[in-house]
Amino acid sequence: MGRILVANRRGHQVVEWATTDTEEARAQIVEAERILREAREHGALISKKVDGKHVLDRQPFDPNVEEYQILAPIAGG
Amino acid sequence: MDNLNVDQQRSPATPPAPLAYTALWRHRFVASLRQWFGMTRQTGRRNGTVDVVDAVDAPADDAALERPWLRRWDHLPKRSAGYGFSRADYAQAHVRAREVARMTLGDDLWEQAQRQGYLDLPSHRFPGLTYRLRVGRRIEVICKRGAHSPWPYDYLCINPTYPLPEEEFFAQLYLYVRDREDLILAVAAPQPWDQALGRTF
Repeated sequence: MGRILVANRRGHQVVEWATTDTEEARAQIVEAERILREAREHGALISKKVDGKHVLDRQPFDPNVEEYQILAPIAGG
Repeated sequence: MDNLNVDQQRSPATPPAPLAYTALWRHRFVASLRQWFGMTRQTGRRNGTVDVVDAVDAPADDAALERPWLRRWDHLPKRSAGYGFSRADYAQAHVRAREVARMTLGDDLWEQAQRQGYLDLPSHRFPGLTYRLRVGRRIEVICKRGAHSPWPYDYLCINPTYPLPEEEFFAQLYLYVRDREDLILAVAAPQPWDQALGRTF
């Protein structure tokens, strides 16, 4: 089971996918990948959990990653 | 466009009866007003085929996914999450934000931040320069004697482009400073005084 933490004004929400080989799991993975791609296209950064801590990540979506997080784009001022 | 509309567009919708058009357009008009004033209604059950759940306490079907990068937030007052956001909404957002900040930083760093009120990160590019991160405040730039700072002032104003609870953005900013100092250099607005951030609450 993997998940994306989507930070927003609600605190955050979680998008989850299963890694089992089922039609539902494949559809969940496609949708999770789409959400990450969409966020990146709008300037957000992505972090992933590696060895228990989050690091910024520029790699394509990997359904085997335990946890992603979508970081808000930043601006000065 | 809020998530309710996204879901509706994806559904294999049956064409509405003629008498239903008025209600449909009224619904879309109200949804547009809600979007404009930052009052996204949390009534959706699913987002596409992905389960959408709140991370803390709330049942899985309680909220549709809010994608803040799809909306404009410039019209909001400083330190606001949007019109119609209640005290309970703010309180709940902070509870969730503290939870995700702890998950992002890890228990040790989060507790250190709680205990001392800041986290220090050394610059990778400027020897002797340290970024001091504090929840909801501008970054303080601390230079050892003789160290070079690229900025004329000691405080860096950096905001998220959409409203976030300050604890959550604190953890995100930590990742930015640690892993993408180039972006900090690109966007930071140096300021001569300390101040609360405007786009967090």
